[in-house]
Amino acid sequence: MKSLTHHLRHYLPLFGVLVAGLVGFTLFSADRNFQLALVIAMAGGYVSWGLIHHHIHRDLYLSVVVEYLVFALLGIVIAFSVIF
Amino acid sequence: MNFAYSLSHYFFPGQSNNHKAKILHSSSIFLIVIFLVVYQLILQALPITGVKILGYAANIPPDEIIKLTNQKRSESGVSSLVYSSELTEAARRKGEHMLTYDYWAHVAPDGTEPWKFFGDVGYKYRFAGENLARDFSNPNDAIAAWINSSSHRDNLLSTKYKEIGVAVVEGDLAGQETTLIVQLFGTQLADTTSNVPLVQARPQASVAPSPTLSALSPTPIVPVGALISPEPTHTIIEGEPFQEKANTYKVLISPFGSTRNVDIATTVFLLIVMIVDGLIIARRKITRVSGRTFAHLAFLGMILAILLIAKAGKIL
Repeated sequence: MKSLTHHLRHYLPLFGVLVAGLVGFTLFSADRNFQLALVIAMAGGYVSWGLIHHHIHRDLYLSVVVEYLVFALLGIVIAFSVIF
Repeated sequence: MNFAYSLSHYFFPGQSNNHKAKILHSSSIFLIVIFLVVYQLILQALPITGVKILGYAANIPPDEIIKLTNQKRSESGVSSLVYSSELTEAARRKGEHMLTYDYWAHVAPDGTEPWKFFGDVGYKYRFAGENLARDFSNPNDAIAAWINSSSHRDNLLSTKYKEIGVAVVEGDLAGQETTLIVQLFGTQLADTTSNVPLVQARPQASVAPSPTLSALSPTPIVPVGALISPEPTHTIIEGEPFQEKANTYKVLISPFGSTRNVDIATTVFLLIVMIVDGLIIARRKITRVSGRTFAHLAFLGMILAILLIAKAGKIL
């Protein structure tokens, strides 16, 4: 919890991107292409956030980058499967 | 002993897995991604191989669609539409046509346009429109989807239309059992009470189907490719009696439902393992080279939310 409080200002942009994407996903329920674009944008924002966050904390390694990428890929595949 | 070791290795952080549950390693996540993709491919391939799977079939009362449509029009200050048996028959024929020729589009692969069905039942229109929906489990979701789409909402709330006909057709479409909703709007050619200037009207020239009908189409139609099935099977759900069906929505298993269940199970499972993993690492005060657990939790939580709010139906 202490760590979370410490990193709150770092996490806020991530939460902002994810919440905005979720709201957009709900509002544009009739446009499936746009929904998928939103999910991809959210995944991109999540990976970007990870790269910047770890770069700032000086612990950005290839394995970390790969980890964010596979989680983003997982999210996109799951979203794609229910959108189309 | 081996089982306990495997359980610990895959789901709890420790020395054997470099202090991170093996299932959360990038290689494991990638394998899960591959599993989900293969699962989807199998679901998509089943109808192609001739294996019939249960699709998204549901009993939706057409009268409920009409009632909800008029309710939306009333909320928007637009006059209610009158039930038309001719439009209902035209809608039923359009639905049958889609099942027979195995397509999901306003215009059939052979070029048959929606307006042909108006003419087939002898409905001479001044204005005409068509909304399509499929795979919805109840009328409310279908109406909500149309309302959320500007082009469909324009049709649904248009003051040009005076009459409505709805057919709910159930059958085999591209190898999947599904439910199609065909909603037709129209204003009779003889009806001159429309508040739209006559210059905008595009009356039908002939009752009989004609290849020149495309030039008379009141709304632009985008053709969508479709598969031709030589042996279509289908069942028609009649609109009457509404009272008997209103509260008996029967939803069968669907590719969407099974996909969503697998996705939700996978996501929840990963979230639980991740939370346990994060708590153990925090408790042991172990520093490891890894992504932020909280960020992963937020992202997967967002994916879970998408899974929960995603709806099956499609409109056209």
